[in-house]
Amino acid sequence: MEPIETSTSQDPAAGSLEELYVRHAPDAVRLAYLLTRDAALAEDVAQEAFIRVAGRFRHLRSMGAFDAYLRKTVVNLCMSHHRRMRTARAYAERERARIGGREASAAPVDVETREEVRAALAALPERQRVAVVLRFYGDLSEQQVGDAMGCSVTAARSLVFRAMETLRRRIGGEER
Amino acid sequence: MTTELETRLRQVLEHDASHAPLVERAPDGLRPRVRRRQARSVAVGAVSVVAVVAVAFAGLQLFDGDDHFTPTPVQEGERPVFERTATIEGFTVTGPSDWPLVDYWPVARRAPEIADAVAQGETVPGSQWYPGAAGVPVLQLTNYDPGLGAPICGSPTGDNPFPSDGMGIYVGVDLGGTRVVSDELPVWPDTVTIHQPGCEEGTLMRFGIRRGGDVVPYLLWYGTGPETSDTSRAELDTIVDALTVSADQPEIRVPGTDSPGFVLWGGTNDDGSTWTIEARPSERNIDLNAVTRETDGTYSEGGFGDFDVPPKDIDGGFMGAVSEEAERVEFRPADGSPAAVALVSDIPASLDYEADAYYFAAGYPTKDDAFDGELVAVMPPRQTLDPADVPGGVVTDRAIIGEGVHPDAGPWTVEVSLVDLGDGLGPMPNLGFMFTEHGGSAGSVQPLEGAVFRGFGTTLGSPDAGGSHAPIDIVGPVTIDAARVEFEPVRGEPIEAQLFPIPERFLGPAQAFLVFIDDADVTHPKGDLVAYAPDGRELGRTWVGPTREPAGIVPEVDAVIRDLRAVRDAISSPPRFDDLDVAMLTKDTGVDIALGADPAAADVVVAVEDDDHAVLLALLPDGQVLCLGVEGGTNFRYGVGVATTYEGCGGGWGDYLLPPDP
Repeated sequence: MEPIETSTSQDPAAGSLEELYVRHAPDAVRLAYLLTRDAALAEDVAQEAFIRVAGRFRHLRSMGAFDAYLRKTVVNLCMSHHRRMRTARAYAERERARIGGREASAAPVDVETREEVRAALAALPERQRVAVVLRFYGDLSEQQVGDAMGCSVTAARSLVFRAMETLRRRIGGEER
Repeated sequence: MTTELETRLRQVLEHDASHAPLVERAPDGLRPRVRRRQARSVAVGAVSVVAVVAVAFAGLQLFDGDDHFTPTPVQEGERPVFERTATIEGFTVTGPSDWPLVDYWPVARRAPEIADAVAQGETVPGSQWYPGAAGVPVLQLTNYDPGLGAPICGSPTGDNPFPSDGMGIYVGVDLGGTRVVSDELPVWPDTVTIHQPGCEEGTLMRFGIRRGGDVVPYLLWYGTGPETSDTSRAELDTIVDALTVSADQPEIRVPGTDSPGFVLWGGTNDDGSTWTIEARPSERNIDLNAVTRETDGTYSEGGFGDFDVPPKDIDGGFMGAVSEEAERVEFRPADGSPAAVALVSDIPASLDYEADAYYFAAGYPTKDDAFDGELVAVMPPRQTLDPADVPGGVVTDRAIIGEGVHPDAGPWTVEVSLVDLGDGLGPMPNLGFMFTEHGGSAGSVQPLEGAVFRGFGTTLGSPDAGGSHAPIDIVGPVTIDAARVEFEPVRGEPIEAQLFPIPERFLGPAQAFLVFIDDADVTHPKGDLVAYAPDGRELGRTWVGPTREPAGIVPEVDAVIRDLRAVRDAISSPPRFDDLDVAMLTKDTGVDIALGADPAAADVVVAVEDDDHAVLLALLPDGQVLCLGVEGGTNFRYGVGVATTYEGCGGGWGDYLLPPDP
């Protein structure tokens, strides 16, 4: 089977698998770290993403798009991790409430500049946070953000816009 | 313009990213892990080639096929006919799927040639298409396969184009002939019927459609052959009556390709855009394209082409080509959830490609990174196998490591080989077993790297399928430290395996074990493979059986999920919804069960919907409810929340399940 849509980019399968990993994994680890804030988890996510994409060389629609596939896989794995953690946390909180415990209170937002941005980012809804990281750390276009998140360019634009609106409100002081 | 906030964001993200772990070299064991991952896909090919057998090497375990599916044999190689509705350039036509439907609209890209041909009263160069009569063709539906050449309307000779009992419908943009002035045309659904040279022996209707401020003239022609029966004419009339088009369409746009294609499937998306899946000739066989027409009239396309069927039995993604012999096509998720079954359609004979096309309307992960499962062409039982015939690869080395004669099934061999899949990752080791007369199994395997077992292959289905009386085999690599290997079935006596040394060039230090299960009552072996040292010590064991379903995310959730699964299995095999004996069910499963829809009434409550459907409900300790819909004992749906109908339970338990083991 040959893919109809082809790319002229460099064949990602060129070179050894290990070379390929060293070439592509650093970006994947950094992206995973920004999305999880957990160094060990970021390494695991990047490895798993690489293995998934590399294991499907023969099935990739566009072999030149290895980076895009890898990025997309990292995003999905991070979001999947967050979703499971959220379910487990919600379960634990409901359990605590059921047996008379109190809901955990929200942590106050840090006032230091970097911490302020970091805390405001962390408080964003997950999809908005992912969109902002891809847009402003990865310097991706809205189309690429949409591709990585599996949504339309309009939806990606909307996610980034709403995230920025929220960040402005929380961090305060900046005019649009 | 970059705002201050954006700048601060970038700075913080750059700063934080610098704290991410450094990657200086690839992790140990990267290649085997990629291979194991890859094996999930490769085994798909192995499954289809081995015919009998669902192969499950490299830790894939067995396919869970014992109670989910009821194979339906395909009659005489023909796929069942279904009612196909597809929209082409705004025209929605419904007809039987064995009537070839042609999307001709791509030829509109040849507008300059068409205009010249109309002006000169000639055919379009290189074709028998006479646009002065036929206009620019849009679509054509016929009860026979006329190929993708000239449309039925617009023959230069004006002859009846149909075979004796043929008939068809044609729609085109009207360019010539006895053209009615556009602004006098009635707008659809009003039409006028006018005789048209070149489209004889039928009925021709003209009408206009508003497009981008203009009224564009169209013609719709339908006709029959000289010996068409009244019943067939009535069928044609029904199809014509059902043809619809909105009188207001966006501006005329054309797709990216310029050749017509057979429409195999079609539909409409939630946003009003329409799609078709189309087959066209390609260099080697065919292309399959998914063509989407947006609500503004623009087109986008993408797909697969030049399929490797044969030698493979299936090739593609969410759509593709499959052997005409395949009984069905399934995507089997790795998490054990029910398989998605693809639609399968004959490919029109004029494309001269001896394969069928398949398409997953739902259930196939379209995102590559979400792909976690196996695409399987389920083949009829017991065909012969050439163990060297590994799909998509070239055998670079092979050795027969074991052979013998089974009293019922005759000669057999165990073979190990290296296969280059051409993916740049080097040769992949394969281990194969086959009966000379009855086929067998083959699949990729991994170096043991210190493990006792690492995957195995086996057969599924009745050992007597096809009357072969061949036993089920289980074969795989095991450590060279093992002096003895046994299969300890869930029920019955242990069965001792035969052992065969594997030359080190294939897998490193390893040997192969082979177990025969001759029990005709066993169709899906379940039990443990156990390896023993020379002194009788147990070295290790591995489970043989359906892939275990993922556990719940915390022990309390897992306990509830296990209860639900136990009840699901108890009421599904065989299905018994009409007269549920709750006491017996409780005894069988050890789960407190009640009838009704109040999840607090028991550990698991069963809401019977009808003779064929039931919903199981269970309350989690935190107050959430898990539902499990059962249809006919073969299909299942999973969800969160109180549902009282099978269809009402959906969305999955994903967030309540641990990820499956890698």
